Amino acid sequence: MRGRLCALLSGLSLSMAAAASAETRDAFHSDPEVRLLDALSQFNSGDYEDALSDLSLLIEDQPDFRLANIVYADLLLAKAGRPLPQSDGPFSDKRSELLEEARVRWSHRLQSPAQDATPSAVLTLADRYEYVIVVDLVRNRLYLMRNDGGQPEIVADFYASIGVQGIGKQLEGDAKTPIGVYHVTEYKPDEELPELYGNGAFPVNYPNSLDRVFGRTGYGIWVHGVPRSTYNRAPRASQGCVVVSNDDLETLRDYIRPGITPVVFSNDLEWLDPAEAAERRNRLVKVIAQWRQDRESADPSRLARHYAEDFVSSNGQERREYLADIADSPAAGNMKVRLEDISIFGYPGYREMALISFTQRVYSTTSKFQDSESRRQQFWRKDDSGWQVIHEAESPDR
Amino acid sequence: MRLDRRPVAIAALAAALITLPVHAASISEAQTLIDKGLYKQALQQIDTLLDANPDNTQAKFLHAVAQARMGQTNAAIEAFAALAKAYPDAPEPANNLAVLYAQQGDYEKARRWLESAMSTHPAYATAHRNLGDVYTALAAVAYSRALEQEQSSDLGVDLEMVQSFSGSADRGSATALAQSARSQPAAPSQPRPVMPARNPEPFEPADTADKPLATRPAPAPAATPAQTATAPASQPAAGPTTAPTPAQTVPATAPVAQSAGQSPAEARAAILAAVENWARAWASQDVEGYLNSYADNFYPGDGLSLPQWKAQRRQRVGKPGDIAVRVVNPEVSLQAEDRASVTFRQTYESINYSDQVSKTLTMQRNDGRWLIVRETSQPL
Repeated sequence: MRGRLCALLSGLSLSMAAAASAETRDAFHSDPEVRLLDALSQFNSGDYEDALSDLSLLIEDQPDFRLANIVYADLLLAKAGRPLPQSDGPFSDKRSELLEEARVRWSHRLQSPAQDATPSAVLTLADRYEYVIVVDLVRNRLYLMRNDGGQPEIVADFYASIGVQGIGKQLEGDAKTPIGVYHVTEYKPDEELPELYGNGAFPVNYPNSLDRVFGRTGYGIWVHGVPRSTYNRAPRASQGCVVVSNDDLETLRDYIRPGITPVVFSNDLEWLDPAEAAERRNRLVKVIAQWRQDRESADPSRLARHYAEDFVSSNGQERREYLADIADSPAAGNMKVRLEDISIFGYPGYREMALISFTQRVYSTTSKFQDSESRRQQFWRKDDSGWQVIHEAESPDR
Repeated sequence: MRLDRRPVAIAALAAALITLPVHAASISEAQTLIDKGLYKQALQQIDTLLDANPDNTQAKFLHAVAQARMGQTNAAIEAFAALAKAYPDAPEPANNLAVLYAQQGDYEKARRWLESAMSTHPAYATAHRNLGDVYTALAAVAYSRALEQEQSSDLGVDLEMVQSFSGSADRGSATALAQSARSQPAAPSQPRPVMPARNPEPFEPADTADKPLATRPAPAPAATPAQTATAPASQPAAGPTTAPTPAQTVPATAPVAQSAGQSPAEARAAILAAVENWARAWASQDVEGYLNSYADNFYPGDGLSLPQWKAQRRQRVGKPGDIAVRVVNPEVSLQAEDRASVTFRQTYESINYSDQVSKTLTMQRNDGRWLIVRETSQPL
């Protein structure tokens, strides 16, 4: 019977999955996926009857779960000793999509982050962010993470579809999902949405400040649900949005705060053990601490060494002009700078880049100027000269 | 007074004698009428028969077949369901229920009923073929959903209905299960699958009533004349030709083949040990040990699927509180080298509840282990 199941299941290389499930211990996963993967596990162990009856129950509960239907259908035919159907033109595409979906779901079950692992993209979170969303674009996985004393911890993870043309949005209409650190700008409820978007949507602020520096265009990148004729979509299906099942979107809704919750789209997500995460975090903590100190200095060259040659500010100022403005201000040399609410993100998509955001409080040490406070984002890049700021902007979130 | 009673007694006896051959003939007449499509007449014939003999299961079965053929699907389903409940190990009512449910497009129900039939009769060709068709129909539905194709409303699944039934009237006994004198279906007879030739063993014709049905029709190379002679003769039109007593078990000389490496005596011992383990696991609330006593193709009955049944048993067996389960006077009946049934008095005691039933376990030998495939209870 195993031999008969070519196409779908052998494509999964299930035979390699001798290991028990390595899923993140306490993370929540949506029920239909768990049941499907359990059935595939049973199949893999030779428990064909259990697999079939569990799948038949799953399909009764979730008849729109296309992947479950095709696995069930293939298993039934194998059991009946009949050949699998020939794939015709249009349907062979659908079959390949379903095979790809099975592969990514199964891969996740085989290899998931450890409970105490830190995503390379989120090294430290300020208290103001209770939750953060991290999407692994390569593995089609959306992680909901809770801020646990500054460290993100996985609460739930879900299968997610991305743009039909893949990863790395540059231009309007390219049907790719962007790479970067964003935040949810608002929540659009079911009633406001065309059916394509399912039961809700969370737009994010693509293009962010850094995207604009690189001249990226486009808009309308959301995290949203699915039309109710299906349970979920193929791994690469949207015009660039990240798409989850309606059940999963409903779950996320309780945790996302429009205007605040950060959303990371990454194509190079790594899961770091606590030691490695601490090392990376501490390096950047030192970097920003040094910057803070030099920001207070009366000697403008101390601050200047932190800024890259190709630095550009959010209002288009280049390095020289920007630093000159700071050096010329009445505050220069007469202030104390305090940084609070520091968050450190390993910026995705670049070999060594970080986003450090913070609340900056400037206290006058003379009476020459007002104290000020602002929320800022700094984009740092590491090269031969060490870490340097390439872009700085007001933080767009509330 | 004595004189008055005798005519009544004689009349009663005459009536009994008269109905026996008459109803055998009228059953096959009714079958012929059905084959010819004369369902109304068939029903009349059967109704007359049932008036005289309301417990005649063959007639009841045929009645349901006629109703099914006439399109009285719901009535037929009810009737077959009643027969299935009364004869849980008979494949014929289960098979026909599956046919009717498939007609209604409920392929999942059809699948469950056919799997039930197969669990007690894994070599039952009709159910096997039907099951393949049902799987294909289910697969077609699932594919159309998966690939978002238009599903043709008429899947053209036409399952085979079985037209005769040979369930034993003596359903409470172990040998009702051992009773493998199933008749071939009256209309186009389907050849039973033939088991591979076994080590030829001498045996007595008297045992043929208990032989696994698969070895019957095609004479094995070393068959004695007695075997082939009894095979066709034991196709009853009405009920079993032998009336085994409840306590009868297959004698030690019966040729249960040795090819699997277990002599009958060893098999018996292994089966009794398995039953003991099952009871012990149950009593000590060892849920895993208890569930491991059941085969993967265990059929729970009562419309429960296997996972549903398992969940229910997990809950009930694992419930805290002392329980005592006892197996009393187990009788093992070997049907094949890998198939047997065990009947015993089962007593169950817990703080809130106690009962005693006559329990029958149908056991199958997989990979050297005897596992339960059916479990039924009768009141004592």
